[in-house]
Amino acid sequence: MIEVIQTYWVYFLIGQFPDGPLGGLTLTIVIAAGGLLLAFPLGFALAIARMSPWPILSWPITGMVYVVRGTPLLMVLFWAYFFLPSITGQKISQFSTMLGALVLFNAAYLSEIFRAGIQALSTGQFEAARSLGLSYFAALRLVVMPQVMRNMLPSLVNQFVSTIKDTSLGYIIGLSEVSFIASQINNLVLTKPTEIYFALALAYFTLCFGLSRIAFWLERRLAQDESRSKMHRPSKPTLLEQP
Amino acid sequence: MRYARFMTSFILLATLLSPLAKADQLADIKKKGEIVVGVLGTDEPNSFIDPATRKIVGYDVDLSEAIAKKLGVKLTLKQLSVAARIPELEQGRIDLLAASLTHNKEREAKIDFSLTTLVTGQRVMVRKDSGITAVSQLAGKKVLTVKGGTQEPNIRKAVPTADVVTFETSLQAFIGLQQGKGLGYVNDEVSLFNNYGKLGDAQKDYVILPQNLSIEPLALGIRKGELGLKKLVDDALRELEKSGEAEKLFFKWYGPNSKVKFDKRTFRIDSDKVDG
Repeated sequence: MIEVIQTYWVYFLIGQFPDGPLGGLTLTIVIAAGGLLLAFPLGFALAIARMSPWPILSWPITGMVYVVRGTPLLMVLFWAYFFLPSITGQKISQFSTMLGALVLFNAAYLSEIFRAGIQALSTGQFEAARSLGLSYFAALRLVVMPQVMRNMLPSLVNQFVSTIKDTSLGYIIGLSEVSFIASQINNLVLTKPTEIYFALALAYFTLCFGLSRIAFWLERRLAQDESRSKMHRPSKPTLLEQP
Repeated sequence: MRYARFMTSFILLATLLSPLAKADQLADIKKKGEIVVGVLGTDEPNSFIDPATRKIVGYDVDLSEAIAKKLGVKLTLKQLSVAARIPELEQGRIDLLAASLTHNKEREAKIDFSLTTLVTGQRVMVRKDSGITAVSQLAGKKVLTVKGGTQEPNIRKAVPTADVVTFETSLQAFIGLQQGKGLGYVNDEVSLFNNYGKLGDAQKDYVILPQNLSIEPLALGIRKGELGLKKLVDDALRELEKSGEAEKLFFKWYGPNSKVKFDKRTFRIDSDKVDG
């Protein structure tokens, strides 16, 4: 096994880079991070649009969220890679297809998390901010969002972890992310499938566990901030003391 | 992989809808200064990753390089899954397929083929302790192979009463043989010898039966109707044959010093006709 690791660890980490396309664990991280960061603002926009008082905005977005939620990512990937180009004539690379599909899915799921977070907050918060003269968006940004973010953190982490694991579906369109690379190594070595897939599982676990720990630390810090602000200003009830 | 069949039909649908090639592909390649060749990268020694350099190497790659040189353009390899090979070619994501592709009549309806670049038989590997020494003795026994290739119909034809069990990849079938899930494992000769070479100390427990189930001509795939490109590819291959380079390449990847260990070359690169 040590021999296998020595021979293949660079390939496992970066694929054929720099002589070929970037791959391996690095590509998995790049795609997961890209998929999340791009989906974040989009998901927020979708949530706001879905809750907006104008049906022209809320209806199509609600429909879109339902469609995305009701279809498997694997199928959408396949669709985007093989079916769309044959209609539009536009060819998209494996990387952009995977990233696009992940952003679309994450945005839809995140928008529901945002919506839950925002609706869980008493409407009095928003109304009070508006009556103090803040604009619609300033009220969202300065009063609603800081509280919503804190409450949403556990669900967000859930979504992030699941995104890291979803990148493995890229192997179906030949994207050289870490699962694809692992199966390639397995093909070449042939006699050590248990060890190789164990190493793969360990890599995913380390990534996801690391992310969970960072989130846990963040959650605790935010909770500390909250209790500190309460201690310093005991007479003034903070916005967070809503049920 | 319950999705497999669904996806196959999906690819088919996409293929039906794909617009016919508009421009002359050869001119496009020359304009781009680059030829994109689809390879498997998972099929030693045809195309596989060299762990030391992390580049795709192999017989298919060397042939592609010769063709790119003849065209005077840069070679770019694109790794493909087995299921995506023909759709990627039809949709024009790649210019040429060099992906351990069997040339048969059925596929001629979809794509064109170059001259045959390799002829391999299909054979059966068994465990020595099964006592099987001839293909006919597999009658009524469990035989393992890969799904979707030409292996399954060929073993059914050779031994109609055999109980054929198929797997998603040939590797799974090979592991099945090692675990005793069946008595025989069917694959292309080249892959069988390569698998055998990797068994190490366990080689003494296995044997590859001498009979060929069928003869498989492998060739490069070209998009249908691209006659200009086909002519150029065929010319490049003919030149390789004439200069003796093709023979050198064969022995480099399949010769006595490789895992496959062929000691003679039984074919020449000179025809694009197949029987089956």
